[in-house]
Amino acid sequence: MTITPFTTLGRRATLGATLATLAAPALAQARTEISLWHYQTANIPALREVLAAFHEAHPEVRVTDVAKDVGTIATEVQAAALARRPPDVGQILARLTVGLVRNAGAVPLDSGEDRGAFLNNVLPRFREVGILDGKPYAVPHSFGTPLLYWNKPIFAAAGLDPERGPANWDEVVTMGRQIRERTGRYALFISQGGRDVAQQQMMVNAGATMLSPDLTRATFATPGAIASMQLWQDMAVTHRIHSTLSEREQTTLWLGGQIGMFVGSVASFQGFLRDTAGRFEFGVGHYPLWKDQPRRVPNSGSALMIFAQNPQRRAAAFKLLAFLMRPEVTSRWSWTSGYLPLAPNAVDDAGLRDYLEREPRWRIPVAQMQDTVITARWPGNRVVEIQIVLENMVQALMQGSGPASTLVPRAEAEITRLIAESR
Amino acid sequence: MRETTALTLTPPWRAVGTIVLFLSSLSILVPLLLVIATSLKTPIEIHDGLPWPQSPTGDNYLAVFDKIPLGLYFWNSTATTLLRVGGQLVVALLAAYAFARFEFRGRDLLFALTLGAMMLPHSLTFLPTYLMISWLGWFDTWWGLIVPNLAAPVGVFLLRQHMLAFPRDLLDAASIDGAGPWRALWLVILPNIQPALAAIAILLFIDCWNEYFWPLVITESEDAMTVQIGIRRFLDAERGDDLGPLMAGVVLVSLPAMAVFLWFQRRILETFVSAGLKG
Amino acid sequence: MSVALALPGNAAQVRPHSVRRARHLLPWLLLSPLLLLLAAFTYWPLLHTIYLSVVDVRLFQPDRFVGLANYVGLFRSPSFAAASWNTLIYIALSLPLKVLLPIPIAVFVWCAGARMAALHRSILFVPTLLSFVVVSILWIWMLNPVMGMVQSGLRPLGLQMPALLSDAATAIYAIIGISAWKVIGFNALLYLAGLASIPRELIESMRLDGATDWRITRSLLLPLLSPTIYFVAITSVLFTVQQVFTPINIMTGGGPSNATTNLFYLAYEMAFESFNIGFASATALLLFVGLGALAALKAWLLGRRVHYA
Repeated sequence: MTITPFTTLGRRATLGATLATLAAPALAQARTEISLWHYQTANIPALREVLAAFHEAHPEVRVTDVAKDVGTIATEVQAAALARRPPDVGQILARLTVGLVRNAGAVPLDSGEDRGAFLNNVLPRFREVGILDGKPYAVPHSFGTPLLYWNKPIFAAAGLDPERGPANWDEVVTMGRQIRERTGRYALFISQGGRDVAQQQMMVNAGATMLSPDLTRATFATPGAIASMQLWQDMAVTHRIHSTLSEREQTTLWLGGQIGMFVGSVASFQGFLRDTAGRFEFGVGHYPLWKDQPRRVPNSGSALMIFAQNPQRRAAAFKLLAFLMRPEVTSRWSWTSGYLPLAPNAVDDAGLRDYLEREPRWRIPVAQMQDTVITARWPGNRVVEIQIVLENMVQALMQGSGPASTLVPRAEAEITRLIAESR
Repeated sequence: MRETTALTLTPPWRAVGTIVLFLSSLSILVPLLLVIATSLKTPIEIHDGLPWPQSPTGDNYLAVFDKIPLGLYFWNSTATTLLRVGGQLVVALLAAYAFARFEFRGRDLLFALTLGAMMLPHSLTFLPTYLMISWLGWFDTWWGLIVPNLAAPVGVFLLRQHMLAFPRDLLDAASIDGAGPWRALWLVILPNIQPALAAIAILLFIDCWNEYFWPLVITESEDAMTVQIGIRRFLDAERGDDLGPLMAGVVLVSLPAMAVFLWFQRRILETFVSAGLKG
Repeated sequence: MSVALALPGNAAQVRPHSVRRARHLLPWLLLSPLLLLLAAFTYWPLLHTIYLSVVDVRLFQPDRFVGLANYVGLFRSPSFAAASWNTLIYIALSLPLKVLLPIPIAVFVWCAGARMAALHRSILFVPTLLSFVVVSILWIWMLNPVMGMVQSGLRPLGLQMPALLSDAATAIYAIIGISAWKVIGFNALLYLAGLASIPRELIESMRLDGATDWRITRSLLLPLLSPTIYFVAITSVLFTVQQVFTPINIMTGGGPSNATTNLFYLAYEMAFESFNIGFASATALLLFVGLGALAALKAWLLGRRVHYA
């Protein structure tokens, strides 16, 4: 018999409430229903598989998953919190989690029964993004890192080794020029992956830090970052190896086998496998190095937060998070969904090792986990304008409106002003 | 008898007209045919840049139903659209009758407020409406999809225009016969306004069927989700849209509106052309 | 389409058939559903939006009054300036494309033989039936500069398709064109319905007087169409401001370099991507006031012409 938990009775008839009270002894095992808002629209089967396993392990909890739009989920959570009906667990873009601590009543993740022990199942450098004022509010879930994909037939046609992609940006340029000259095709596309991701990756990899530690100033206009942005402009304007088409057009071109190299998120890997099958093979390489510096790429993606205000549901939400963070669960999620595994020693997991046998290319992102740093967490309520400034900076570069040495510092100053004016 | 009392154009203008119409129709048909063609392609062919599928397949249509509960979405879309359009027509008809037939204090102000509502779509005032839906407990329900949209200012406006254009004798005759305002509405206005009502119904139907923003915000599950939101599942800028099922989905969700139009268009067009003949 | 059958030429002159001795309550009874719905779901949200534009909304805490800070912040924002300017461009260019261009198309359909007219009428209506999501997806495909179908057509001619959507100089025109594509046919059908209600005798008698096609068009058709033109102009402005949201959202995201964003889209972005309810509410209100003013101005201008044409 299924007993409706007390908490969800709210608007049910009094009769139901009475019955539930009579059944009080059974309430201890009563089922708690909680909601999980997410934006994994493309991964619903994989997500349901995980939830089914959770239901098996915890029959006393029932999770309803609600698919939302990636661009709007953070706002919907905030609106729902204002309306006093927040989701119990929400999957939020990691860089937006700061705002939700204040605006949606996120629960500190060390306030559960296990005092946050489950967080130790996640690589510390991934966890940083969810910590505010020393407290963990978000735990990484669907995390990505940028990779360099290349089209093997185009490499072969250009007289390059189809099994070896470029290791650093200099090689990207030389190989790109060779592709351009020998095949006449676009050689490279750097996927924006949102408004502010690609330029951040490139500048941080060149040694910059996006924000001051106290999150009050933009700090990215370093000589290294300016040089990296100048390179991007040169690739588009001078070398003409980078096309300036829009994101969707580019992705279509890449899938159509028309672009030599594609810098994009690991999250695209499974989609690429699906959509290039039978047409061309692609190689997977690390994000290119900047000169002789060590690789530093911002990790990005989504994190889980708890918004449940009711104690019983909050307890159930903690059970869900603890389950989702188990190493065997995160490693399986990694190849079913195409995101990174999360555990500090992910390769210790037998399931992941099996998968790596079958799909050796997946070793690259797993190895690159160790090279990631925290993504910029824009504070305040002017986030979209800040992102637009960065987006416009790249577009101005692509259109050759000015050199990076003026465009980058200008963008930095404008973002600092927006942060100062925001609340 | 000729259908219309059109101008007879001079030959050069006639040629221009033929060319303009041919090009307009072509600009509409070609993209549509390409969508249909793409929906019949195999995954390998989709990105090959050729307009036609080499080996047409219906797999994408099966995949749509396989990957999302499209049948349930269709049920939600159909039921909420019909209920909403029906409600909109009733509300608009009553209001238009009041505006057209009666003089009362504040009428012009209220009519201006009705038209002003056209400038305030939900997406601009979403938060207050959202909070209200929450207060009413209407998230993820048909109520939430239907009730906030029952007032259709454009319908009120158009129906009022029609009623104002009624020959005075018609209504006067009804008054002389001693028919009350309700009977006049039922026996005189309604029969004469039917074609307009049908046309407005179609507009409202298309509007509602194609609505994107509001169902996106307030539906969460198979209980209320509509087809337009359902096919969003195949859109994904980052890893590439799932184009085959997407195009098949696009074709499927566009069919009902097409069918409704084709079903009604003959009657409607005939009605208004003959109305035109009567002058 | 017959909507306009009823925007009959003489609508403006006809006085309401008032029933003087009507029970005072009856009109209110008839209006009550509409008024209740508008009050609850349009005007209450509007008042609430005015309130939200002058406070800082905080969870679990009382809202904080911030005066006009949100408005001041908006006027200092470069995105707001770009969005305002683009909104004007969208409106200014849409009027000739969506209001005037359909008139000759309607006249041509009207003059075509009955079978051709019926065929074109049906085809012209099709874009209206499609959702804007579908239309956007379709045109992304068409306009792809390397693999798109337009490019396939140009290649044999040795031409290269420009990247319309990713060039800041052209993107807004591409979106204007696509949104016009969606409504030209519908507006043409509105005019067609207007044309169909023009009395045959008038045309016949003018022709007997030796009037040319052009003269009949100018001095008979256009004046009689003016109520329809007014209606089409009003709806086109609203449509342009609100409905380009979807193509902007799907095709360009407001870029490149703010080239395609408009006030409506900016309000949406501020609300949905920053949860900046204050700024979003202020933008929404400014847009509402602007549209209201524009509608009033146009009603006044066109209203005069309608009367005295």
